[in-house]
Amino acid sequence: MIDLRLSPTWLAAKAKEEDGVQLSVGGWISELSSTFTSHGEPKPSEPLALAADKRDSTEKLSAPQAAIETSPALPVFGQFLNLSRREKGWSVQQLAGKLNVEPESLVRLENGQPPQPMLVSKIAKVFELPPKSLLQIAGHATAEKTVADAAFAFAARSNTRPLDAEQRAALKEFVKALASQ
Amino acid sequence: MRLPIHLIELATGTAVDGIIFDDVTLEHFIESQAKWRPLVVEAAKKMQASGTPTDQLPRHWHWNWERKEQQLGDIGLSFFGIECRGELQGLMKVDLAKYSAKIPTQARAELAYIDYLEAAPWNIRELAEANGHPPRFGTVGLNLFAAAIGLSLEVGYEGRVGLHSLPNPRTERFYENTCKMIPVHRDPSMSNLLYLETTPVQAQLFLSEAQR
Repeated sequence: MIDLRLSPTWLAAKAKEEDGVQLSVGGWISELSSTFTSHGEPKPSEPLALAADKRDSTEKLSAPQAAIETSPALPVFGQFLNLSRREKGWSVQQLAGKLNVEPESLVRLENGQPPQPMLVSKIAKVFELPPKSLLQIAGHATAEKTVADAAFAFAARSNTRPLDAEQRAALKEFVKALASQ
Repeated sequence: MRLPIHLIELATGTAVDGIIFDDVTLEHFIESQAKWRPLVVEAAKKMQASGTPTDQLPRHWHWNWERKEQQLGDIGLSFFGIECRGELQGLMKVDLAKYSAKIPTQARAELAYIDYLEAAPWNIRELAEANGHPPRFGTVGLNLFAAAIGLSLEVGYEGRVGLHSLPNPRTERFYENTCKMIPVHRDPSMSNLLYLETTPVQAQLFLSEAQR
């Protein structure tokens, strides 16, 4: 989280511009469409607020809108993380400390669990890589062809045995491809 | 993480200390559900009873933050909250995974999409006054918007932020003029809501003015 503290003088000047503005954005409209599809539009004679009450009292928690349309993750993020960590000579615990996450979370990532974007950003920082490329590998953005090609080439050449010279070379080549994005 | 910010106490026009945080938990959802929603519904009922046209009633009562609990762990979503004087003053949900830029010069670049943003009802003039008191704190929205730009910068999206504005000319002007967003189009897939974006340049313009 970046500290972007806004100037109190500027805020005081802009408070009037925000005052009275209906700021709510986005989600309500998609929620409305799905809600009203299953529950029916409120009738004109029905007080809207009461219609909302009625809806909520009968509605189960919606399934996670985990219909999050991420791009398919490239099948190398965990392996890349594992090899990069070992190449640096760090234990899981050491890297977890640098990323400020639990070691268990890191183990899960190395074993294929997809990371959250914020964590990808931290990982990119620790390994001095462009976050954009790592986000593509993690499936948070559509991978450019060069990144996808490099990722699949990397996946084809690496495994989980201790790093040998070829793996080290493959890892370096992959890092180079990412860094050049 | 929790960072200090300033809100503006609307009664006095003075800056007060607040906190913005990104570790939103179920307790925050429950707090907003318990404290905000009854006030929003009460205000909506009073406004309707006093003859406020239906299309001018607050939109945000449709939302139920508790139902967002299951999204807390979702990949690609980030949540932010603002606290001041011991109370939750605003919440925001940002989607980092689902949307890309629509401005031609930024075509298909990743952006942080503000999927939801809401201030506590006692900070919203129409709701507060319907409930018989003046609004308390201003600039909750601006602070949350700045956090979305910060998140976009942090994940490498270079400050690109997008959102659909509620269909209200004053709201649309606020996002365009105060937040420096560029109106892109009326989105037919979202009931013709105005879709706006910040480019990296616009984001820096916003920050350069707001941090002066």
